[in-house]
Amino acid sequence: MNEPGTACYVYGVVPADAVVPEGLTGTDGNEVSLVRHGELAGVVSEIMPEGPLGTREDLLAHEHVVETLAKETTMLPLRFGAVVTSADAVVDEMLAPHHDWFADAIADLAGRMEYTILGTYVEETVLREVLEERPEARRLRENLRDLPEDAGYYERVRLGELVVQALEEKREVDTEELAQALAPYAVAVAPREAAGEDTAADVAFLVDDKDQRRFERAVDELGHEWSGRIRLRMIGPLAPYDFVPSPPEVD
Amino acid sequence: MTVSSTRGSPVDRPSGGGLADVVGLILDKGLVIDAFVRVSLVGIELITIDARIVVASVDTYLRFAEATNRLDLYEKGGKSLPEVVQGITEAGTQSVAKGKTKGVLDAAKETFEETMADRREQARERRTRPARGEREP
Repeated sequence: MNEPGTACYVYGVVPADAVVPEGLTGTDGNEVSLVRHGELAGVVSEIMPEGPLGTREDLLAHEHVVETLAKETTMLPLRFGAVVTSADAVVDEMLAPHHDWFADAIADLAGRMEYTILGTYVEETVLREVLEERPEARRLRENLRDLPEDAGYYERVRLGELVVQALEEKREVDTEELAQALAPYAVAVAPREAAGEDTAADVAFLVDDKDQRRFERAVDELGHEWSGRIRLRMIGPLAPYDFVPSPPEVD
Repeated sequence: MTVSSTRGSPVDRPSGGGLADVVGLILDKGLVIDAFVRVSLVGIELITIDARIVVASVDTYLRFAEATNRLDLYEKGGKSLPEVVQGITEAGTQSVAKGKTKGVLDAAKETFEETMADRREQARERRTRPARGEREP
């Protein structure tokens, strides 16, 4: 199956009338092109089918291609690392058998882009809250404060565990609040798994292009309101990574 | 810092190329090709799959215990300068030691860590800033 020579890296699916900006290159530095079928086009570039794939350059190239296309048109992104034997395979196995499914998905996402809003706790503020709210944490900290760094191992672990538990509870509340505050300006909301213990909220929003300004303003307002306790980070507009539909049942 | 904020806004808006912000999206989200292509799939090894190394819980707990204890620095105020400086030096040494350990880990993790480096750096910067302020007259 795995022929010698080049293979085909696939970035995503766009409408057939999309245009790839001139000079756009992808993984391996090869030119990005479209392979069309019906109303659809696969976004592809040549790649040497020799692994491994996943260097910083590979990831950046993938992201750059997806985001460049997402700015121009509706881009259904594929997960990083999609490689098939040839561009024909994209048509024969993906676009042709699932043409209507892809066309529907693109229609649903047209004119909409994703924002992810990441809230991070201001460590000092939130740790003070925890100490105020949890007597056991306060007591452990009193015991530990005059011990040398290498002493009190189990107490340190217990104290840290208490803090992590407290933060988990706070995260649940703050995630809900963030989602509710911004949902009025979005067509869909998708909470994401918290990446770090200091994460207060990590939520993706699908926003209509016409609502982008209102959405961003609402994020700013929340940022002001939460300032000093939670720092907000807004990433987007992006391709709708979190809002691609579940794949159809194949077989 | 590379983060640019719109004037007057407390919200960070990373300006372009912030891989750390999107690496999770690229690796975890989006359509999976296997759902569509079976026959012509090329199984290229992905080093990023192994890159998802979950930090052991104990490490996390210890980090928080350390952070909670460090609150002393801000709180007491009367802490002597040598103590403050020592705290900073220790923190620095730990980061360096951590960096070395990462250097000997497999390439996969290294790549992932690399993408997270700028984020980590920012966090470190934030953490040391108040202490640095105290040092200044």
